Amino acid sequence: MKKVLLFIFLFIRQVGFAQVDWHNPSSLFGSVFQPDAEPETGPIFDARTDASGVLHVVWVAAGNNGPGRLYHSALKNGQFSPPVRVSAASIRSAVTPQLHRRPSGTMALVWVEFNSSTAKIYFSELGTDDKWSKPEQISGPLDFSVFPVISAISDQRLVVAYSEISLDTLTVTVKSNVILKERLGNGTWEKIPFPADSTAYRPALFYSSGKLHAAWFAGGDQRTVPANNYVAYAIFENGQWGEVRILSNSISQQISDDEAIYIIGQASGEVALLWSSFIPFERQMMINPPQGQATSMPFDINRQASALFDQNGILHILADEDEGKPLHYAYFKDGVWSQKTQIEMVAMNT
Amino acid sequence: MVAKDTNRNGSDEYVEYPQMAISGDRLHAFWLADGQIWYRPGTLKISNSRDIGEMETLPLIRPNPVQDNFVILLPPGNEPYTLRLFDTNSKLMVTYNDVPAGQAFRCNIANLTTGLYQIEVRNANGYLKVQKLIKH
Repeated sequence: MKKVLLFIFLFIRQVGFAQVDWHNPSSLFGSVFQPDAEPETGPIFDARTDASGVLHVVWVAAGNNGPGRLYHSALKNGQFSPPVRVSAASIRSAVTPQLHRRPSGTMALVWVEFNSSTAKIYFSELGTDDKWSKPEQISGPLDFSVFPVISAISDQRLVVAYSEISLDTLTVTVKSNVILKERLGNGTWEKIPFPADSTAYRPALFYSSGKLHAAWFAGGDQRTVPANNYVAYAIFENGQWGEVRILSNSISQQISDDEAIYIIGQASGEVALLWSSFIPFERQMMINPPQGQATSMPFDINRQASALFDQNGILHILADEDEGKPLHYAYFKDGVWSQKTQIEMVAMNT
Repeated sequence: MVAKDTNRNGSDEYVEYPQMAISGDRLHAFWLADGQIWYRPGTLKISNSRDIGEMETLPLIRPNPVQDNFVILLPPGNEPYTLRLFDTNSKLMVTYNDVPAGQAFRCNIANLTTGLYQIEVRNANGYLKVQKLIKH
């Protein structure tokens, strides 16, 4: 009996629990703009908190069925502020905004703008006067750049990585590179080395404790299916890139938005790499790559997901598993995944 | 975790582009549905010991996903439980009878193939809960 009680005690001690009391959902900001251009280019909004805990939201909205433009609002004193336009008024569409909290706590932003047959990456930052700086063009002028991600190595040194997609007119095939650019202070955006070949796409970045972590998909011949892609990972430290490590060689898919890859971390330096692929079906998480053991996640993040660490080191994830399926929340604590909880309220038909 | 399943009302609309942010003990969840951004805040509570909140999550299965062995922590009560494990075709794979209430019960499923299963937990008082289990 004592052994049973001891076992139960240990079990309880190991499990602990986290609980989220979800409040009522509500819709924000009215109708949004949903681009139908190919290739599909990902989310049309993002949300982050600044150093003061203020929640910032950026999203793409269409005015009177016109072009999709990027707007910003902040949650202050329980109220979202009136939307402020961030992107230019003349663009055709904006997509995939990504907010980043700089070490100083202020917000930086990158996004893609479509104009004619090009897609370009833009950058802006929120000043202490609550105004966004004039958008700076990072990529271009004649390329097709998507999936930008931003990180800060220091408050004066920002880096942005993105996929640059081009058409090989001789072979009529699509090629993709990952481009990495940095800006020192208020200088211009300059290209710096990135340890990937010309098959790389969909980069992810995270900076922590002197290390810039980068992951991406690569390796495939995009003319064939399966494309035999893989997940690559490298760390930039002390001014140079370390060895590129292959973390998974079972990704077999052409360029699409059916794969996802994320790096998240926390101030203590712990980093988590999450990736998901569609063919074959794979959903993996690795704590502290590249040495960590990859483990399966209890859901896939193929379509989209959002993950973060809280101040207690608990990993939270919100995942859109598939079209028509509910949105699920789960957390990873003490080495185990919680059960999934469906959190979206389909009040839209009421 | 307190499961608060919501009604989908049979809608064909699907949600996409989930986003999450955190400030202190507040989780902010966002998604796109029906051409609008939806926002749902949540309050995060953390505990490393059992309390009333955890009791609401019972039965609790750890680990999940599982390889060979898992433990299921059962709610307290006067009646023993019957545990039944079904595959995705609703085929009964394993049955455990007269499992004492309020205990952590160890199960071995090494002989089952990988995949998704459902564990049904019921007793003579009408208690019935079904949870998913992933074997990998």
